[in-house]
Amino acid sequence: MQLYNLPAEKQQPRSYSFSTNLDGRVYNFSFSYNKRSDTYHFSVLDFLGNTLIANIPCLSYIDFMVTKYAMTEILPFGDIYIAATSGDETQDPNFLTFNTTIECFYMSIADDL
Amino acid sequence: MAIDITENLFNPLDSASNQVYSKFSNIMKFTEYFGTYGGRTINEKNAVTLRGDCTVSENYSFAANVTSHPVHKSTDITDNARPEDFIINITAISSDASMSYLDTIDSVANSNVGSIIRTAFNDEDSLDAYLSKSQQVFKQLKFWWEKGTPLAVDCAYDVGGLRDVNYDASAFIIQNVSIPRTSEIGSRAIKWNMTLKLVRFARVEKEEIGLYSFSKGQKSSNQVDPKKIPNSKQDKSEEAAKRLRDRKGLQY
Repeated sequence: MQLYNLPAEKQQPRSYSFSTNLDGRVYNFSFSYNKRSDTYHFSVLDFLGNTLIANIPCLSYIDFMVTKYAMTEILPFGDIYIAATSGDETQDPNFLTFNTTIECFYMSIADDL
Repeated sequence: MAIDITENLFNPLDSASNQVYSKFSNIMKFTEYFGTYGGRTINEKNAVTLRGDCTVSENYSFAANVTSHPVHKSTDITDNARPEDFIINITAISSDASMSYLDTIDSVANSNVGSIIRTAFNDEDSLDAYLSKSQQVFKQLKFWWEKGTPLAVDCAYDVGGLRDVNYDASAFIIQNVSIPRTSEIGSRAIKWNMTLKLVRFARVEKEEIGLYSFSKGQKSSNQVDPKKIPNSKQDKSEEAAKRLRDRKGLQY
């Protein structure tokens, strides 16, 4: 198992996006802050910009964030995992703590194959 | 002695511009809202300001929507009050002969005589310089109405400009302009009645972050070193990875 820290904008914009290569596949990720739920939501898009899955709320220590919607179709060798790197690990991320004390990881299990 | 034209040459739409501003702070002033919109960037250097030579009337109207719901007995229950409309109405007159205020170079240059003086110095707006002040006011109001230009408003009750709770300048957009031309007003003045409504702008913030590669066995120049979860919390992620392997049918 290998954890990769997904790139984040530390200036805390309400919306940001980036392109990344996860285990050989190119994905676009889009994160946007939802004021009502007071957390960021993310969407996964393919390299052409087609949405694969949208608006998954970022919550701490949730298993199968993407896998529960698509077993292996979207992220075949891993999943997104949100965990506290410092501070209180019982809290879910909010506008201030996301990308500061609580971060977003790509958990790769490609090594285990 | 050379006269500093850039300092003293006023905004032709504003009789009380420049040095005499402080004396006329109680006359409502409209300035183009700073920002980028409609293909133009407005800042303090190029924002157009309009102020009438005299104000006939001003009116400020606030409205709120109070939601209420009927209950079994007694009066309705109110659960919310939401500010809705903030409307300003102004009737003002701009006169070609606005020299009567004061004997400063500003007001001289604002007048009909001034438009001749301006022509000599103002090459950029040489066409506009031949317009009388009332014609310029008409042209400006028409432009603002056509383009839906947001305006910042300074008034007697808030000399520093009307602002919202975050202390940002409030933006108003012209809802209605009426310009009656009657025998009382004469041919050398313009009387304008304007209704403005408070508007809010939606703000879109979006950041694009570059391309990152987390591919197995590949290293790219812009790769970010993965930050590890502290050892004290590593167990949780190990357990989560184990559950993920099981879920994806990978026995390990």
